[in-house]
Amino acid sequence: MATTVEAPGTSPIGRSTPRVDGPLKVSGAAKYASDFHFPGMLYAVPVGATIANGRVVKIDAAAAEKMPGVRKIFHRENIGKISRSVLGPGFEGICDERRPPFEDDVVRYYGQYIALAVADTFESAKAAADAVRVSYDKEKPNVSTDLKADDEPQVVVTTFGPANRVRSERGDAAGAFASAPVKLDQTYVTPAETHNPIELHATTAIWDGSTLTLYESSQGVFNLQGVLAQMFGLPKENVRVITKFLGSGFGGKLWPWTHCPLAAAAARQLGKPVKLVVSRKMMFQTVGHRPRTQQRVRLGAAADGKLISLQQDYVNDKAILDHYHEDCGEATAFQYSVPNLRVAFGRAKRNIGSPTAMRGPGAVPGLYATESALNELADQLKIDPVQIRVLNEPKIDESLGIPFSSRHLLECFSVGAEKFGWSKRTAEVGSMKRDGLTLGWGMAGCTWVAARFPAAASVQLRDDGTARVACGTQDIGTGTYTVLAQLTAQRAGVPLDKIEVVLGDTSLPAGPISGGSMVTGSVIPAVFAAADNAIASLLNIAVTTPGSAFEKRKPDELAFEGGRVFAKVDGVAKGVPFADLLGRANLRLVTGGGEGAATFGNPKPKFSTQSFGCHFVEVTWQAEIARLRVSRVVTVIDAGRILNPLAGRNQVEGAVVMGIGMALFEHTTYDPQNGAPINSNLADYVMAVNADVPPIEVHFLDYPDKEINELGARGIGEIGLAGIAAAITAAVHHATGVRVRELPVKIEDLI
Amino acid sequence: MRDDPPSSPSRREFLQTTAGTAAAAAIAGSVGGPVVATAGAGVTTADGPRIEGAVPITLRINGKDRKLRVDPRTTLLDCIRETVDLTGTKKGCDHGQCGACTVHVNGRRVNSCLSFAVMHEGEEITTIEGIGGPDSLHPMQAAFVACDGYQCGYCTSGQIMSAVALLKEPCGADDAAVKELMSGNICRCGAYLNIVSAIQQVRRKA
Amino acid sequence: MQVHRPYTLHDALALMAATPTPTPIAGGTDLLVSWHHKPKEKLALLDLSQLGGELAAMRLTADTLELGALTTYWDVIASPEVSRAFPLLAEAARQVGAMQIQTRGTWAGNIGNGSPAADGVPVLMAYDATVVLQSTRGRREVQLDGYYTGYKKTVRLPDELIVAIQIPRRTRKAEWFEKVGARAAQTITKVGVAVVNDEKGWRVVANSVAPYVCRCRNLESALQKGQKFKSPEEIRDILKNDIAPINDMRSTAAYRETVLSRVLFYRLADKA
Repeated sequence: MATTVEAPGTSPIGRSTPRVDGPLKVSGAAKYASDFHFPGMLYAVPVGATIANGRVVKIDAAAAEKMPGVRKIFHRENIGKISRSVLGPGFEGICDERRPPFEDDVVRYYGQYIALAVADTFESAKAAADAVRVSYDKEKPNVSTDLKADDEPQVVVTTFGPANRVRSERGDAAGAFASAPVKLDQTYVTPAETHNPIELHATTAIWDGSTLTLYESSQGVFNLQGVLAQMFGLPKENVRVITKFLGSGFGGKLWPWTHCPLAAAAARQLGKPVKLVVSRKMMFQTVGHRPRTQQRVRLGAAADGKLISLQQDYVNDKAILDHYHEDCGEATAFQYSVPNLRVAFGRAKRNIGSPTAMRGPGAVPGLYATESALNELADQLKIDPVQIRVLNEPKIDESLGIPFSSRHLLECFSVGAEKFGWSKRTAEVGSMKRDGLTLGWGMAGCTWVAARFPAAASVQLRDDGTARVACGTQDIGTGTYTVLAQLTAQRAGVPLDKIEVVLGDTSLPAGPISGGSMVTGSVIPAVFAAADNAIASLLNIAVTTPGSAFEKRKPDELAFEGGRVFAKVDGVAKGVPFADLLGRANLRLVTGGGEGAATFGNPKPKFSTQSFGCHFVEVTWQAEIARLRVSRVVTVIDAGRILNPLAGRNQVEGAVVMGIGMALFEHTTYDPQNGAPINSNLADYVMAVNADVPPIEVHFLDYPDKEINELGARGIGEIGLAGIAAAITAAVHHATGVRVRELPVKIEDLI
Repeated sequence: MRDDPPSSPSRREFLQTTAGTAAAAAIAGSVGGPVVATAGAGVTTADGPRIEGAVPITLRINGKDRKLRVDPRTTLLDCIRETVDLTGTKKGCDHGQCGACTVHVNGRRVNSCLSFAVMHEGEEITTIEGIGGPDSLHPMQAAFVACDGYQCGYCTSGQIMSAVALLKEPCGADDAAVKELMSGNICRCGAYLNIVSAIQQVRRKA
Repeated sequence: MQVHRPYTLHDALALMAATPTPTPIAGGTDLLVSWHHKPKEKLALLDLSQLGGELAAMRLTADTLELGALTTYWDVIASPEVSRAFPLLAEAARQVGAMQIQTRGTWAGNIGNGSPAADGVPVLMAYDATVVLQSTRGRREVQLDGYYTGYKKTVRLPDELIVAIQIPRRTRKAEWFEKVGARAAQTITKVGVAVVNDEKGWRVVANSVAPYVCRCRNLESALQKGQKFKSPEEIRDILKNDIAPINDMRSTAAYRETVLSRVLFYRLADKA
């Protein structure tokens, strides 16, 4: 259970801080994309294809168009020009589904939008969408779950550009495996998972002459701005995207989806604001998902458990036209020491909507496979699973040949084992009991990349003693509003309750995507630089303003601390509050801008920057009534300095909750006949509810990583989901003797 | 706000004019009791949005009577959000499976996506806005802030409406009882433990 | 779409006799789900929520519990008397969806909807409930065991309304209810079973294992004869003639059969 631990001292950094946007969220006053209403606003409801492969022969909208309140039924013939977008330099213009909606009459996945009903009310639009009659030339869809890689060249196209299918390689992995004394060769499967943020994807589009404004549920307003500008042939500055509050996204809202240009195109033609909210059912079809993966892992080891060879060959399914690669090998090449390694991938085209990044993309399914394999190898050798990891701890990042900036994985293991009581574990299957229940104990390690995206911010100091900090990033729910307030409070000495934080708008300084667990790390240098620049202006004003206490001084004789300007020789006690200085100068405010450079994508890094951690899990098993529950979790995370332990712990707990779902419940299943996701609702796509969640203990090792930023803070949004499924399946094996290599664990398989 | 202009007939009058003829009158092709509404009948208000087939009703929301014209197909949820413009109540699934749309009807919590607005005339409806505003938080709202009982905040209105209702429901003292009664509200961010902490904090102080 | 809101049962029954027949709606917790899925423009609804009075009441007498058609799950949960007299009703009620469903969903609606996975029906059938149907032509009582004739098919005639459910009060020697699903709460039933042994004998009622909620008569007669079971497999063999589970996206036939027999074996032996 979360407890609040106060850091010593008065700095807001590292102190458990209730969210500054909390009162808005708990009172329903926080405005999400679908909460903005405008005079004359129309409602749009898309019509999705009811086949997954074939061609639209005819769309009969006659009846629908005559229904009361209906403004227009849009389809390929009348939607107007929507162009394609391309990837630009520096990760600009990213999009997983490049084909603009209605571009041709081919249907490539079930639910692909083929028409759009727009009406005065939601009810009329929904009824009209339902009344549109479509005839198809239907072909059998391929949604096969048996993934054999398509024949693709060695270098393939991916969402982010070209990639070599041999992702990592060193030594002679195949040769070393062949001669290894101990071998393990298993295939692990993770199913399609759907993000299912509770906020439905939504767009409200408004055209004002040549300017397009979008209220969108977006994890990346600037990327969306760039893609939409391309699609509608507009200068970027003529597109404004606003995401004040984001009902999470887990990656599903990182890149644009087709509903967004549809709403914009409808608004362009009808000259009125158009609101389009994607239904829950459609969210299983048209806004991405984590793809199914099939991963063959081969481990070769010495008799003592030391790894000699590691091979990971994986395949993910992808849409017919697009190029998503689930980077399951993301962490494989550096997590453990092994001289011979080869990680390679392939993709298999299917009649499904494009997959996309979902929380911990790549590493989460990847670590499920590699950590599971390591657990199996430990069992095979009768070595404790913690011990086999300690034995294979690397001294450096062997994939890059450079040191880690800050790696304390061994300490994670020892802290976790101690807190969990791991030493009491008896290895034999089914050997541990409590209150008539069979216990299973399992563990796994985890890691997630740490880096910075480019970020800009502005800080204003105002004559009423308040400050404003602005950055065009989004708060996805991780606490970004609060972190920006903390950073500004720290640097400008303004109390938290006197700081206004403005986010989620392309009219603000360009901020990073809410992705990769990188927002906090990226904004630190930007906000600090902005605050420093505002303070520098203030010092100039202090020495130039007639009547100022510092009129005779030079700026470099002054300093700023705790919201006061003072002469270094006199000390802060004789300082003057910035509000007083601004008042004397008859200035409402001073503004400073600041930027932070990217480290993400650096081709020649000096250090390997990653976060690390581990999970220890207990499950209870009642064979009599086939009841499996996760009953206890201890998670230890080494993510550098934690700026807000209250929100930080929540992040990791939430990831563990999602991991319980990943391990035991979640999968999207496609109907082999028509290609539809069949469990496309929140009763049949089972996610963990409150009663499923056991006590979760989260421990942070607080080692600041100064390679990342001046505070030493890496990210924590995703790492908690990495490894947890492998720990749970290990615990399930320990309790039941059943080795589950295809997620989720189904109780059907355990009896 | 899309309240009716003062001149339009109230729902009460509408019922009075039809109830007396209940047994025999044929209204919009039906016999028997009062017919509330037929979608597509073409009632169009002079100003404001055209709402085809809308019928006048009065809903009592957060202690205030609101004269509205609603389409009979409009769910209570869409009526609250789109017609009355109280957007604190959220749509998450439209199937009664996530709890984001939870409101109180006559003091009991319900999923507002699972009933039609016209079925709620004469009932006392409370939404999150009726529990407390940002500057006048209900103790449960304050506890959610203090305990970080949310992340993205989207399911939060529903969580708090459930939590406030739970205070008056037969619920055991332990966390397990609270967790069971809060399981109709999915928090995809997974802030469940903090939600339980917030509720227990309020219950201990009560 | 039309919504009728009658204020009296008399008016409601008159509307039910009209053509086309309206669909009765009370809590809406089943109907709205399918409506959202596929809105029907032609749908005519008969909103029963204004009827109140006898339809909303629960009456507990010395020999009967009568649940008016508008009785919700919540009404049972909130009534200590009813919960004490018929504990399985309260237990099942608390496992029907979420509390937000329990406050609106009605027992009569759960019967009327006819889902094979209905969570409220097994306990009612195990308690030997009777369904009271009424139309302008009169009133009749039908045993709940016998109410279903096939998947979503019932003996209710188009103009009839379920107006009440009657449950006899008897001395019971055993009664329990078990629901198995994936998650710990708010779960869709993979398999559920209610068992009652009273002066009229054993009744074992399972859901999600046949086209409709049904009694397991072969198992009941075995129990009646005092048969003791040595393994879950023994029960499974008997159940083969009682149930007809299917594979669907929620579970498999084999699992349903296995789990049902296991639950029965261990609960009957009081080992779980």
